[in-house]
Amino acid sequence: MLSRARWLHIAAGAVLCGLWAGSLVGQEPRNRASEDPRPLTDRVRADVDETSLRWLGIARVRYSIPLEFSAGGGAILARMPASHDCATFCEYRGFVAQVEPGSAGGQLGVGYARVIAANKPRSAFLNNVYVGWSARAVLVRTWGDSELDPARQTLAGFEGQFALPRISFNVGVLRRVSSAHEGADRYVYTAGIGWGF
Amino acid sequence: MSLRFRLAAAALFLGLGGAGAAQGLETDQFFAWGRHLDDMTEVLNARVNLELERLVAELNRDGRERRCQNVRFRFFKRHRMLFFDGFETWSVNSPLVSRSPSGPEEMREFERRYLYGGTSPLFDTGRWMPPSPTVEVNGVRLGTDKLTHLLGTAWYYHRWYRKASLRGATPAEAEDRAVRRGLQHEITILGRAVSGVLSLADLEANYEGMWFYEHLCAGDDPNIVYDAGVWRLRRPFDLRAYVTPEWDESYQPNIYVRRKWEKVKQRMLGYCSMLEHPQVKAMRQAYRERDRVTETERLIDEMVVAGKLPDPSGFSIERVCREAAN
Repeated sequence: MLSRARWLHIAAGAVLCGLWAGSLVGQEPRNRASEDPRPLTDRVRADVDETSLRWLGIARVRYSIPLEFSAGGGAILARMPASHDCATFCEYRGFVAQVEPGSAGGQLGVGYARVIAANKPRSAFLNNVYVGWSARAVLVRTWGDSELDPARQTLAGFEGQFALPRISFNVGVLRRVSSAHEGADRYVYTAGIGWGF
Repeated sequence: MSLRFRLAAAALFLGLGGAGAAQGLETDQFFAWGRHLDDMTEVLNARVNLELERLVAELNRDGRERRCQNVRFRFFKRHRMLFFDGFETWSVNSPLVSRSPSGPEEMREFERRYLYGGTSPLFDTGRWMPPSPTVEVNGVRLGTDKLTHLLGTAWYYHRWYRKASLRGATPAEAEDRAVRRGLQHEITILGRAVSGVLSLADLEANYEGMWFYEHLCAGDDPNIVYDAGVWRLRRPFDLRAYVTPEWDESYQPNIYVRRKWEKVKQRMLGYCSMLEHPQVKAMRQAYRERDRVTETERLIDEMVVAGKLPDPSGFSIERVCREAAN
């Protein structure tokens, strides 16, 4: 069983990995418009089809059951048209991973996300999330003053998230995977509201 | 009231506001006044035609005739995104598209001068979404959001048109029903009630898009045909057939709710001196020469006469500057 300190180490490590990756991979779009001699239709085709993988950091704060107040950090990996700077907005579709320590538990989630968002020049994070959703497999460890019975347990399950400007919500279901006393609930339904992605 | 209930209520309230705002991107053509923009007709045509060619290839892979409505939906689905539209997303990002604002410096200036920048970024749901930059098409300056209206929102207009036709309405009646329903949507969930702005330019683009979908694969002059067992692009898409001066929101004024108008008017006043700028004068003169009374304008006039909408001319830059001068 992982200790609380271990969870926090994992969280900090994942956030740093997200930042590092975001600063390295394909962040500077290529601008080839001015000197490209190809016919317009070929240039348009190339602009649509030439893609690169991009990592961008994601962050959220929320109140949820069972984590209560929590802050999450992670990254999204998406294949994008290589030339797009996404300063206004882009659609990011791809793999998402996030760790999220909270006042009553911590969560590790991995899954698929689709989000319309912008990122400012030279920023390693999605700065404005306009709309998006994600489906994640999550592993949760509760601690402290968790309202669950028992207060310390490990759960695994799924979470769906839907984000709009200024707000995101999530729902999910978890199944207890750690041992507990007889009569303890095996399933926990989760819900939350917060900001970010 | 429990905390959980309050959380759910807050989520529902904010979520509905956000969802409405998502399809109501705002745009500001005033900011582009006096700034050079290359004409993007050919570039945007090439982007849409690329998608039509890919649709044709997809249909030929299936290797059989399909109902036109199915072809229309396939095209719509190819560029539909989560609330947004693929053509608009491409046009705001591609280095092939000349647009304003563009580049970090102009973006910063835009943030200072944005027509809707005087409203609260927290409470004005219209500002929860990114503003659409301006591009020039066939001499008309328009927000890239018009691509979403022409090729995205118009899909729904066409569905209403088709539904009315299937119920026995004449083409004129079906058109009228679709346009009226579209106006109600723009007044309520997509426009005025959520963002405080009723964009007549958006309605114009929706209307033209309805005809794009109608003629995509049907009628006397379709874009795509099934001929001798093969699908082919018979007539390439051309934005020139749809874009009119009414798509420029600095020329065709929006209708604002009072709380928003007070703030927008202050920002608009800053552009009065630009009315004498050679580029702006020439552009507006060219617009006047091309101007005609559109179906949307007829409907708005009818609503104004019935007292259901304020007169849009009261929100024009000319009126604002004239009142300020007096």
